[in-house]
Amino acid sequence: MGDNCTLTKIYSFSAAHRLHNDKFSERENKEIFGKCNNPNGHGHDYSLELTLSGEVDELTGMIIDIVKLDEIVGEVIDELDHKRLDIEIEYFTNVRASGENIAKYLWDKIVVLIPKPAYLYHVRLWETSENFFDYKDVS
Amino acid sequence: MAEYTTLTKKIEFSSSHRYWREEWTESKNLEVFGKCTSEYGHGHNYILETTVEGPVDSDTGMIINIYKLKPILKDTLKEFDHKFLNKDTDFFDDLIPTTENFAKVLYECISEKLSKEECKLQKVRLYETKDLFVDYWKEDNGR
Repeated sequence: MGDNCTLTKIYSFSAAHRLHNDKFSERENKEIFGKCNNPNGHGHDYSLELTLSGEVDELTGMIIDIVKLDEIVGEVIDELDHKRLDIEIEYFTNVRASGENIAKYLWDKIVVLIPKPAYLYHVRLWETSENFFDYKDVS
Repeated sequence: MAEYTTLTKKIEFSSSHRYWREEWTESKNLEVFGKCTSEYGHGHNYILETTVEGPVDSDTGMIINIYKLKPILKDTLKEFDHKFLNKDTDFFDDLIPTTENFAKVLYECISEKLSKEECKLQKVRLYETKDLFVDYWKEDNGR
């Protein structure tokens, strides 16, 4: 019977965004995105729960060195922290900075940086204390 | 569609620990474990979330009575609460008391105690701090 162990670390950052698509008319944008279409944007305190899995190293008792993880994630998050996502972050100039898309962006950035044998297992992005978005690779 | 119900009980307790491997040099220990090598240990307010699964009894509406579950968990934690994990328990003589290893130890202890009960341990989640937790479960009953 295999045992499973995951480690989750929670990070936070704050960013502003506006949900808008030039493809849609002004009316459609207002209808689809509602308050989130406010021309000057609005912001959230995001909370990112990163879950990692892998072997628990026999000598260290760890899946990953948390100090290293903090450095890796810190760099990715610093790029977004206190920014207007849909203006200042190139990726979100074409892709809506919705919770779903930010969760995927963070997954894609972080997944390649995790040192083996640890691997990224799950991402949960809280946009407010009432909304969260989960992203994982199910392939 | 099959039903699946779980019950999770949360309990807080406090322990201290130290990360140190005798066979390593001081500088190697410092490099790998950093502040956690501090000689006399340091502590955390741990939160243990214990999740059990099983059929919901049609008479009581319960998977297990909390009045029964809570003493089992409290009894398990007695060995760890307000203790220095490295020295006051037998579990970490050759095992670094990281959250990963501690979660596994707690899983094994609780699982054994629940073996006589009608429910089965599904998972333990151990919070070391409010922004760091470990989940531990066995493959055949993981969800």
